[in-house]
Amino acid sequence: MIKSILNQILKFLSNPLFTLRIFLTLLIGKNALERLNFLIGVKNNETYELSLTWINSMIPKEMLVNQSNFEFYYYLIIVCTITAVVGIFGRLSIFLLAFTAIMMNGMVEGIGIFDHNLSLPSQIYFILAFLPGTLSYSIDKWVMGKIWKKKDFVRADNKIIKMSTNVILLVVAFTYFTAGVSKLRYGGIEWLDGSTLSFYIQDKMMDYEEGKKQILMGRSVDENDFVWKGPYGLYSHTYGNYRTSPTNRAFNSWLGSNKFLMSTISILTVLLELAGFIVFVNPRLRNIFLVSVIIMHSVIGYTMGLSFSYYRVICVLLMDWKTVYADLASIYHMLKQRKTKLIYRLQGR
Amino acid sequence: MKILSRKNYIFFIAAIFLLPNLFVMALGIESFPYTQAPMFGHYIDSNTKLYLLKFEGHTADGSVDLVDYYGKSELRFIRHFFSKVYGSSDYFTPFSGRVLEDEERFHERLTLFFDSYQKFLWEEYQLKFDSIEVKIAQVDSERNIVRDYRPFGTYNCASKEYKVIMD
Repeated sequence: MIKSILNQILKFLSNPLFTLRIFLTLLIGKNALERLNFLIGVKNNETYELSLTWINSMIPKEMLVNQSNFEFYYYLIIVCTITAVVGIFGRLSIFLLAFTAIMMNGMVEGIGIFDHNLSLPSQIYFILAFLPGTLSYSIDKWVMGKIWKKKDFVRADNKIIKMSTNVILLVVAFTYFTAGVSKLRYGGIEWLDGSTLSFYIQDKMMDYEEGKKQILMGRSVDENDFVWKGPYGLYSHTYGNYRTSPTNRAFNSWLGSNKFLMSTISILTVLLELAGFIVFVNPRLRNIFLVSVIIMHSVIGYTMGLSFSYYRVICVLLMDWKTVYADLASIYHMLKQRKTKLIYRLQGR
Repeated sequence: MKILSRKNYIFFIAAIFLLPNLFVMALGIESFPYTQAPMFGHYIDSNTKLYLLKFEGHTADGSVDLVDYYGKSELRFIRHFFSKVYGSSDYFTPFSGRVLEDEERFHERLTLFFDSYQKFLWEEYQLKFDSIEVKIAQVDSERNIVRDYRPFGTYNCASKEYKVIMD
């Protein structure tokens, strides 16, 4: 009984395109509704030229969220979330929901903050609308199977699902790789000394009043800089630490002031991010990479309050669960054998 | 060999969706949902110069600190101003999708921004100013003032011109 339930779960988990469709639809649908409320509620949100992302600059201005189309988007998000989960006009629903979410998060970027927690999930979700295998276990598939009896037409075999999954893994690996490159590109080899992460881990941004939260970084201006922008050489803004609880703060203070640990964490972070493409070497390395990334995001979440929960969900779903199951089963058998041997040995005494 | 096979279609989808990612990574720019993930990338230590910005409206009668009139959180307002309007001192800024930068474009953006902000201040708070000044203060990591606020740039609301103050 338990084995058959496990096998059934394993069957679903073995098709990440299906599980990603279900989980990302729910997460992105929820996020889209939150964004919609934010966009309508925030003042000073004019969609003028400077606030448009590349994608939003190609959309007619009337289609961007405003007071008059609020209700339309509200119902569109709800309907598409439901139809994408059950798989009725599945691809169209995913496409519309993904497009709406990308447009709305683009507007949020225009207002001021690029939500990196949503960048990779939005891309993956959009790609799902085009990849074969996404609609395994859907009403669309069932109906098409009834209409066209030739099952090959509608069925995505394991090879196709594997190829589609590799496309998703490629985007994931690329995102982490580019994050590692950016740290070395902007911070140089010095970044590995840990002082940057130490600053962010110990920052108490939430304690400061409005007007004192957002820091910009500057440098001495030389002839290579835009001298006409002024003498401060502003080149970057900082990111925030949203943690406020005393327990977190005490841990952050201890961790952030330990130079050796901060440097080790910085080096491991860059190495891990640059190693993104090892997911294609073999299933076990893929799982090790994804688990390491989940741990990395969990540490960032605990210390800074930036949970990157969507990334973590994606990483869990992209794991090769057949290998996890096989590895766990062999560990279980090994422990069982050891236990038996131990019992025999004890009985012998 | 079948050109229109599912395998070729998947390669096509992979190429289409990876190209913008390669583009933003190569140039070092971002525009949602494409990013080169610059978070925490810029090096900070005790020698890094840190600054706060604030906006002040000026009339003949005096000045108003505009921090309560941004219409959104300071984080959003200042990041928008820095990323989308002012721009980094680096040619390609990792905080916007711009691929071209020069003095003319810089002033064009500032005029667009202040024009929009001025309109918002009037419509939302019925505030009208002769000029809006951007001020800058150097601080340490705990926001203690190292060098007090001084003018950074001024926008003349009548002539719609932004002037950089060179200290």
